[in-house]
Amino acid sequence: MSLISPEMLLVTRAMLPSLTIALLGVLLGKADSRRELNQKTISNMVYYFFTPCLVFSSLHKRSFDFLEFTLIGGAAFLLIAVMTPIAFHFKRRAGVRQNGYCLPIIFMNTGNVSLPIALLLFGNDGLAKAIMFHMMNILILYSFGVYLVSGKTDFRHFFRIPALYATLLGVLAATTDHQAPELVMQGYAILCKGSDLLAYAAIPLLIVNLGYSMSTTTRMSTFRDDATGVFLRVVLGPALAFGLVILYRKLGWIPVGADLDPLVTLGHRTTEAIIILNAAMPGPVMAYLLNVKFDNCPEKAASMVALGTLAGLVTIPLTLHFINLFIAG
Amino acid sequence: MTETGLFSISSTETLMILRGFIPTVMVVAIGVLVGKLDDSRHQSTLTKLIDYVFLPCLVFTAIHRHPFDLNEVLQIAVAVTVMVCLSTVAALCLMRDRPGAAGWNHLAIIFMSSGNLLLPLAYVLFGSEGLVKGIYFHLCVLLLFHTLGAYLVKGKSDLRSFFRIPFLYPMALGIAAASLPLPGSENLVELAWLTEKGIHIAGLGALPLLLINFGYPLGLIELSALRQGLAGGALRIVGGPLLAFAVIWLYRQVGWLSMERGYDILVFVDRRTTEALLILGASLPSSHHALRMEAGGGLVASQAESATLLVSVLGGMFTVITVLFLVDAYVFQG
Repeated sequence: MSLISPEMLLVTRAMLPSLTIALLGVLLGKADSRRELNQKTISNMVYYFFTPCLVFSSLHKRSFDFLEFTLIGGAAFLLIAVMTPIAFHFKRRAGVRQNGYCLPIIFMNTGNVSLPIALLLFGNDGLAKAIMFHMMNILILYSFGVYLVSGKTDFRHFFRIPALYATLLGVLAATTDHQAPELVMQGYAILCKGSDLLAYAAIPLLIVNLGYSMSTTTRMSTFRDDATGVFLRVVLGPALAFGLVILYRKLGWIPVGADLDPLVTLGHRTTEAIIILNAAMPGPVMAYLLNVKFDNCPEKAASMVALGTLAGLVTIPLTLHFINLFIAG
Repeated sequence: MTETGLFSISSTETLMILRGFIPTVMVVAIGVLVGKLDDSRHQSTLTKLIDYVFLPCLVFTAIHRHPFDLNEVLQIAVAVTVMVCLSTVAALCLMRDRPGAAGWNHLAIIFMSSGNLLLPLAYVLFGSEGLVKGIYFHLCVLLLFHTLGAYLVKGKSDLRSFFRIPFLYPMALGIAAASLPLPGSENLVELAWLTEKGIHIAGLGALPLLLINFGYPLGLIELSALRQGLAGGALRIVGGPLLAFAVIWLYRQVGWLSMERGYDILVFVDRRTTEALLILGASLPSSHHALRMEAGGGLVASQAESATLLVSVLGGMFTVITVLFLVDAYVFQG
C-alpha cells in the first residue's frame, strides 16, 4: 500500500470540507480575543432546534428494513456497550471526574464522514446500511449519552431530549406508508421543508463552535490522555468490530459460504464492511455539544474530537485496507 | 392564473410559493422563540457568527459560481436607489408631524430587511440565481443605509462603516474568482473545490441563522405600542411593492428588462427573476439593522420604531405572500 493510497485520498476528500469549517471557527476564535461569543447560546440553539431538525431530515426520507436494522443496529449497540466500560476504566485511570470525557470514546461520528465514504465505496446499499448504523448510534447518543453527561438520574429527564423525539419521528416517518388527504400531505411536505431549512445550520454551527474552542491554547499536559482516548476510539473500535463480525459469522447471523447467491454474498460482505467502517470513525462532534450543554469537559471533548478526526485520516484508510483484505478478499 | 381562478390551492405555482414562504415564516417564529427563551440576551453572539463567518461564506460561494454581469448589478442598484429615495420622501412627508417621529423611525419605514429576510427567501424561491441577485440588492441597501440612512439620523453619512462590513471582501473575492481563470494543477483545483465545498456547507448554514436573527428581537417588542407603528408599517409593506411594480413597469418601457423572448429562454427567465426579486425585496418588512446601529447589539430603539417594525412584520405575513402570487401571475405567467 502506497503512502497516499486511494483510500486515504477518499477519506481526505470526505473530511476536508469539515476541516475547512473547523478552521473558520479557529480563525474566529483567534480574532475574538475577548471571548465575547457565548458558546452556551450556540449550543442551546443547536441542541433544541437545529440537531432535532437535522436528525429528522436525515431519517424520514430513508427506506427502512427492520431485519437488517436489527443486525446492523444490534452491532452498533454491542460496540457501544463493550466500549462503555473500557472508556470508564480509562477515564478513572486518567483521573478525570466528568463522564462527558467518555462520549468521544464510546460514540462514533457516523454521519459526516462515514456516510459519504459508505456511498462512494459501497454504493447505495452501503449508504442504506450505514444510515441504519447511524440511526442506532444517535438513538443511544441522545438517550444514554445525554444521561451520562447530564448526570440526571431522573428518568423524566429522558423525555426532555428533543433529538430523541426527532429520531423516533424520523424512523416512524420512514417506516409508515403515507396515506392521507392531499392537504395533509402538502402540510407535511411544508413542515419537512422547514425542518430541512433549519437542518442546514446544525453541522456548520457545531463545527465552527468546535473550532472556536480549539482556538484557545491546547494544554499539552492532557495531550497524552486525549491521544490515548483517541487511540481507543479509532484503533480499538475497528478491532472490536472485526471481532464482532467473526462472532456474527460463527453464530450464522451473517452467512459465509461459496454456495450463496453472489448478490446475497455481496450484501452480507457490505454489511460487515459497514459495521467495521463505522466502528473506525472518530468521536462525534455531538459529543462536544453535549459537553458544552451540560457543562462537563468541553475542552477535553473538543480536543479528542479534533485529534480523532485528524487521526482518522490515517486509521480509516488502514481500516479500509484491512476490510479489503479480510472481508472482500 | 389558473382555470379555477386567480389562485388555486392545488396549482403547482401556489404550492411552490407556499413551500417556499411558509417554512421561512416557521423559522422566523423559531427565532422569536429563541429570543424569548434566551435569558442572557446574547443576540450579539448570533449576529457575530452570521456577520463574520456564515454570511461571508454564503456570499462567496454564491457569487463565485455565478458569472459576473455588471448590467445586472446596475439594474438592481438603480432600482433599489430609486425605491429607497422615493420611500424616503414618502416617509419624511408622512412622519413629519407625528409625535415620537425621529430619524430612526424613518429608517424603519424606508429600509427593508434585505439581509435577514431577503437572502433566505430569494434562495428558497428562486434558487442560486435569486440568491445572487438578492446579494446585490442587499449590498445596495446597505450602501444607502450607511449614506442616506446615516445622514437622516446623524446628519452625516457614514461610508467608513460600510467598508467595515465583513461580507464585502468575500464578495469581491468571489467576483474575482468567477471572472479570472483558475490557474494551477489538477490537484490544486481539486483541493480548492473541496475547500469551497466546506465553505458552501457553512454558507448554507447562514440561511436559517439569518431568519432566526430576524425573529430574535421580535418577541421582545411590546404589543401595546402597535398602534404607533401602523402608518409607518403600512407604508413599508404596501408602498414598497407598489413602488417596485412602478419601477419594473418603467424598466420594461425603456427596454432595460425587455419582454422579448429572443433566442435564449434562459436570458428571458433571468430578467423575470430580476423583476421578481426586486418586487419581493421591496415588499419585505422593516429592517432592524437600525436597532443594532443604535445600541450595538441589544434591543434599544424608540417605541415608534419597534412598533413600525412589528406592524410591518405582522402585516408582511399577508402582503408578502400576496405579492408573491401577483409576481407569479404578472411576471412569470403574464
